[in-house]
Amino acid sequence: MKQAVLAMVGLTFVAGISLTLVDGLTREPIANNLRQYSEQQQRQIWNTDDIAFNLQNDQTWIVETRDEQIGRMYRTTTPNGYNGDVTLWVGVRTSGEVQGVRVIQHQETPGLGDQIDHRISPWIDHFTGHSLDRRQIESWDVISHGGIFDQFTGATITPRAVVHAVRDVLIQHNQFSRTPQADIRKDKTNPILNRIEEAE
Amino acid sequence: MKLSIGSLALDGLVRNNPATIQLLGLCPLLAVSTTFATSLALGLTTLVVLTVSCALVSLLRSWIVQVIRLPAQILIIASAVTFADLVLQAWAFELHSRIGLFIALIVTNCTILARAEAFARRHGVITSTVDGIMMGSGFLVAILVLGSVREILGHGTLGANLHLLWPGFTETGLQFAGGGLLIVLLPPGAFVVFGCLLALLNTLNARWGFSRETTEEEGGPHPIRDRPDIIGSDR
Repeated sequence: MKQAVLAMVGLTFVAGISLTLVDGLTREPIANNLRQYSEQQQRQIWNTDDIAFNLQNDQTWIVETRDEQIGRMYRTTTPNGYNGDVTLWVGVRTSGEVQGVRVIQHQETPGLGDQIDHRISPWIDHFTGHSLDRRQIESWDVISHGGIFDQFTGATITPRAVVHAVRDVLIQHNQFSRTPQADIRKDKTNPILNRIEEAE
Repeated sequence: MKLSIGSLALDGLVRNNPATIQLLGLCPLLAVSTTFATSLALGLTTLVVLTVSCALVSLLRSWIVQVIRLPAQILIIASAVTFADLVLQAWAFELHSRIGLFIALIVTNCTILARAEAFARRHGVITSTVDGIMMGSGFLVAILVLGSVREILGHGTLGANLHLLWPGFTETGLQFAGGGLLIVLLPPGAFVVFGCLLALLNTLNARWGFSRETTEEEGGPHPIRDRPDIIGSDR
């Protein structure tokens, strides 16, 4: 028995030490990989290297070229994916149109839900150019739920989570920029809009 | 003992294939085999983890006394898996982002614990390592066949996204059709395709008899009779 306890303690100790070593060795490269990937996705969205991101708050950046402000960049996380959180970059032009969306972290099923990943499928490019018309807010959904965005083979939950996340970012964006939308605000039927008004 | 490399290879790949004869490790086998590329990645990682754990369990077999053998083996396997997970994240980031979710699940692949328990702790380091390589290859072949069939039927392609594994490959792979049968990609399809594969192998086996019960000296536990051995007492 004594030998068993000693062996187990020794083994756990050795395993702990070796994993700590490996963690120390890999921590830096992993952090680098994540940062690089995230930055590469930002540049892909805005299609240029010549750009600056000024932190607005911890989830929002103002995007500027050398002489003008061209939009905002949002980082958002939705818990509604099929398997855990999905984190996205959403670029929105000053005009309110989506510049581009990229998934930077997800754990969706390989071969099915992972088509939200731009490396695997160009699906996420569909958002580019769309803006949020508050009168047709229900069009921000996948086709099977009456919206205008394609779901893809084998997955509805994942694309739906992404569509809704982008929609919510646009709602937030419109609040930020306070574009004149007086006539649309009269629409009291939409619960989301009412909530926004209350917030305002 | 007559444990030549040849007989170990025959056991791992055909006679006692962990996936198709022992029916072990079905969770990752069925979950990941949606495309050739993910199958290849997970199969290779499993092969490495299996080989390393078999070698370590065999190396430490005189220390690992009876009562602690299961926790000790799981500790070794889990460490090997964590090791593989971190290394892939650090130096194969693209690949890890495709199959990362399933890397951690390798630890639950019964093939690995079964080989540690039934073989590695009773045989020398070299024999156990070879057995690990062969059993891992058997699993790799099985998951590759399943992955290929499911990708062809489900997506109409073969080898798409292989460039994530090796930059030399094209992104699209071979195109056969514009789309495919969705059901094949979903979990029920995995069972159906795997069932068909087993039926085919059983038919071939009935004709040529390549699979046979291997004795304990030859390293092969019987798939059903020896199952209690994994959780139960030592003989």
